Amino acid sequence: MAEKQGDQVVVDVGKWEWSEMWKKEDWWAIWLGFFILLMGVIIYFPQTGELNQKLSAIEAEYGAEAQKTDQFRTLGWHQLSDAKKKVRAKNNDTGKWLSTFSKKTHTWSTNPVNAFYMSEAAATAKKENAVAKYEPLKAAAAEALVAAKAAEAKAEAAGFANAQLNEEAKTAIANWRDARLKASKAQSKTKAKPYNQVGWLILLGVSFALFFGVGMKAMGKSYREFLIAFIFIWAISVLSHFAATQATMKAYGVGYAFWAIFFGILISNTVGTPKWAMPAVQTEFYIKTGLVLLGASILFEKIVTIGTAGIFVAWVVTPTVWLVTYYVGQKYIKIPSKRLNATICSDMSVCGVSAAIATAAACRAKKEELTLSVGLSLVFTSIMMIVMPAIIKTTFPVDKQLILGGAWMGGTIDATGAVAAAGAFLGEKALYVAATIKMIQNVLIGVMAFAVAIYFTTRVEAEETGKKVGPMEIWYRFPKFVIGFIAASIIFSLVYTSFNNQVAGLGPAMIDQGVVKGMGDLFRGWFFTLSFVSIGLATNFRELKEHLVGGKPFILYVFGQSFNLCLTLLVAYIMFYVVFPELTATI
Amino acid sequence: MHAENTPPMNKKKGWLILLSVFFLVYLFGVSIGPWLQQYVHGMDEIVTVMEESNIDGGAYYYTEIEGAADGYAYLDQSLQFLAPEHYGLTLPFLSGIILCLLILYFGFRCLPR
Repeated sequence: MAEKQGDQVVVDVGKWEWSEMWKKEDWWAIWLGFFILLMGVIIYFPQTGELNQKLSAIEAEYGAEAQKTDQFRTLGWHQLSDAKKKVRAKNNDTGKWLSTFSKKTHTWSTNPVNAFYMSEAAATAKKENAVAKYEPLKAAAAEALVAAKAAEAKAEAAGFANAQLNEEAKTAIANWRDARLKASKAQSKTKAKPYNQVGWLILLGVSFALFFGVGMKAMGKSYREFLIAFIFIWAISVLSHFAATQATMKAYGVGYAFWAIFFGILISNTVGTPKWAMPAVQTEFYIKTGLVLLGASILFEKIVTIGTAGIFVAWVVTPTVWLVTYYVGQKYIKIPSKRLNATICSDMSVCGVSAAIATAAACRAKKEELTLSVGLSLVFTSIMMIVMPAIIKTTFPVDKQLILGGAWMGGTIDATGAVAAAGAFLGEKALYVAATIKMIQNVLIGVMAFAVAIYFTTRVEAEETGKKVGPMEIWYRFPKFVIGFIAASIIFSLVYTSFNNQVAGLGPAMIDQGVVKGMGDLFRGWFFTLSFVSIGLATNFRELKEHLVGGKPFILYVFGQSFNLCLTLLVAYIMFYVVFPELTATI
Repeated sequence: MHAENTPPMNKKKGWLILLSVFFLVYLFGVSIGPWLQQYVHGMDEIVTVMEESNIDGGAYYYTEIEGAADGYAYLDQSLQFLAPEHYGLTLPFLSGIILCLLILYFGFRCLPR
């Protein structure tokens, strides 16, 4: 490799030895990632029978009610959906303990102490305040349910053949859903409990130091030096989450990845990164382990959720935008680095930071190239989150705002959080459509990362080194952690589908709400934070400035995002309103 | 004591900049940000929705958002019950996946050298 070690997100050499499997971080990322996933399987899978029974009982109770008409969604239909959502493998005692153990700092607005500590008295006061707000909403929801039941009974008595009665029932049920949603949001705030996160954060930091320390030791590094250095990296990681959980920062959509890079760069370019902290600056190790965990949440069955229209918006538009933007970046804008070009393309067309991380690792981008991509995404996400709902509200026909608007935002806004916020602003259906389109795009990360890895291994690196690339050379150069990433995705996709074949809803209960959210996700966010802190601590402004000359990355992003906005809107309109209007009517 | 390639900076100046930036970030969070919010059209409303729905605007992946799980349950069940002929691996659906793979295959082959 032409680049010197430490410069890139991922470094590989063109040869293979079996000892790599216990000496190289690519493999250690796979072992550690799968160790965590295996723990999740051991903890949650023994509940399969119990959850299967629960879901079957729910089906038996509400199934017939849910399907008694296709004229509208009945009360039974909603009750079936609500009851199934409550079945979660992670709700057992171990899952609750793991959630507390791995919890990030709490949301705070003006008093920083609230991020780590809340007294009994403060929690009680918060709870009382929330209960006072919840009670009237609960009563309103109960009242709306009575009205909905009466309206549905009237429509049923007419054999669901009276259009006016059907419409009245539909409206009454929609009113009940709105009232119930408001009540449930208020109810979640009544669960305020006192907390002291300091001890847990220390315990978590020690656990991570030991966890990654094993790999470091096996790779021939000093265990002691790593443990000492990790204290520094961990402190900045906690600081990053502390900043990200501040209410205003959350509102502006400034997440932990930004703060981790920002604090890292700030420290390294002012007071300097202490030399003793450098053994724990292990960007690649943390990022690859996080990506293996991410692989487990890339579940292929999810892509059928919104049918053919969704797959065209998310899976046909996205690679088209990626390739056109990359082509324009190379041919016309003349971005000097192909890796920066690819990372920006994924960041902008697929799904922001998570896609940028996967692509940067797959094409061996430099640290500052990933930093730049994340920064661009952050700026545009914050703007689009506010501007797009406003445009939709003022320019779209009322009957197309929720579905077309939701699909448009889901396909174009980078970060999932911002997509959800913008969708929720328009309404519940817009939130569902936007978040689902984004979820289907998220699943594309695996496919894109694999394609990018193959392209860079067989084409770009072959041109750079001037060597012809044979099958063995491809294997030598292929970033091995991608195997773990893809394997995790395939294995958990198969298990997910097999669970759903037993009883509908068992897949989400066991995988989504079990191994993924109850194990992999709890640690993935922290691992990415550690990697972003490491990137920041090893980056200096001069290197970053070199990439900004001429504003080329900015021009590329603006071009790509403009193209993305136009194509997504066009395809979403055609698919949802011209080709599949009957599908749209079911949403 | 500095990371590789990091330009050295006067220690006093370095600490002064570091602490000043920390203070400015804090100030933005507790004072400037909320004040600015009211002047950005639509921002206040979005913030209210986010607070009410407990949405983290900084979330990066679908598993970090409750709305994605709710949306999945709602849409998946809607399609299964109300339009079963469109649910699952139908021919048009598979054509979308094949088209995606073809775009990637031919697209990457056609990229400039």
